[in-house]
Amino acid sequence: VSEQALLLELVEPVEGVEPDWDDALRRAGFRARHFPRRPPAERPHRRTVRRLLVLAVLLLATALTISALAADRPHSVVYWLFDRSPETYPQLQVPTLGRWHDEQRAGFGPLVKTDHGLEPRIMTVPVLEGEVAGHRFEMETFLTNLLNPNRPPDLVVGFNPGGPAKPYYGTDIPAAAGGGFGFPVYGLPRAFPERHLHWVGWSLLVPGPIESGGGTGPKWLSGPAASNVRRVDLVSGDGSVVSVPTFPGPSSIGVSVRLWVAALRLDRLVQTIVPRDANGKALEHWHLDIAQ
Amino acid sequence: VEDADSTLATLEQVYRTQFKAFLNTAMAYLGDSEAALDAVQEGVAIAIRQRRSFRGEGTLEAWLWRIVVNSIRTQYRERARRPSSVDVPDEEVGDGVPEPESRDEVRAAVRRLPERQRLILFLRFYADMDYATIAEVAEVREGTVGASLNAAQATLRSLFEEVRS
Repeated sequence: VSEQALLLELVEPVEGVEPDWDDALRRAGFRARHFPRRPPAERPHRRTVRRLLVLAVLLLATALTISALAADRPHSVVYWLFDRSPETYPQLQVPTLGRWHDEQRAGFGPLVKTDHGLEPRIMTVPVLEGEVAGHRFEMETFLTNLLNPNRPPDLVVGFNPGGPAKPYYGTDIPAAAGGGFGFPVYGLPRAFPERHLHWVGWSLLVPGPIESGGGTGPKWLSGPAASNVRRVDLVSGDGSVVSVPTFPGPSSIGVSVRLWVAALRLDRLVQTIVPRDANGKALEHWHLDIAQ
Repeated sequence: VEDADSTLATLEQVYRTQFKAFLNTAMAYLGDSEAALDAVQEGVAIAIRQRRSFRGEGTLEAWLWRIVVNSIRTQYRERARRPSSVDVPDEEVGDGVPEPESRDEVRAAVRRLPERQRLILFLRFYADMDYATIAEVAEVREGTVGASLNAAQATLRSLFEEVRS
């Protein structure tokens, strides 16, 4: 028996244990969409009672809220969502970012007719992974006239909570992120002319189901910004502000665009967006007709 | 700021490729698969949280190893402070079939090695590391690695001779 063999025999092989990166991330405090915090199991009747109570409270609160807001702003629609998580989000949200790099994504636009039938459209686009307020995300930013073939190329900003999506059905390529286009922003290409240009564009994304008792967030606000915008302030109805710095878009698209992203509680309703330049000067106060 | 997430991606790669070696080393230290897995996962979680402190001095692999090894040693010491659990891992290893006496003796001898020698021995045999990497992980000079290995092997060799005779 060699020394090495004897030493190796001292360690029983651990069978069936595979690396669990998600577990490591959870232990590290990551709470992205695909790391849901599961509440402890409750007895069914307690759960039912709780749901009924939550539903009653929800109905009452919704009625009161809509009434109050409708009285205040008769021509506006307001989304009101409850956030049942205890999570709070920092007021200054500085994202941690990877590097822009080109990757294939699948599922852009309608399916493409081929000899083999309908297939998803696959494109190579600049993607960026990042994390803000402890939540991972992926952005895609590119120019295309895929959506409006007779128009000039438009800027598309795709956003995927939790990082790259799962492979698009029928492929082994991550699905394209959902997002926005046609942003009426100074200096950015756009397929359609707009009367009123802004210094930023925005998209709202609320991932996952919103149940009767509310969701657990975060909801995401993100978008492009003109090249001189360095910070975006998101002002809620109660006057509180979440500030996010802008960061450079991909240089490969040949357009000087900056981007921003914020992770918010579901019940934080943003009513005004204030883009600021490098000196902190407010470039505009964009009052949204619909609180986000 | 930009490097933090690429560090995270690289950390994941290193974690996946080194996972078995991490687990083997943790098993050698702790002798209990559950505790070993917990120590490894905790170590990796610490590395994820502290990834911004990685300054590129040395390899990310060695940096991660250092943190995982520290986590394993911390857990070992915590278990050692609990009298009832000190010897449990070794006794519980296996499927209940009595261990050959010689293995118990070897285990006991390994446990009696000075901690640094034991760590270096484990990294050499269970993680299959070369001397330079062991030196980086154990934060010792390369010469110390050779000396510690020689000393540990000499101690064990004399025991093996006894076992053989």
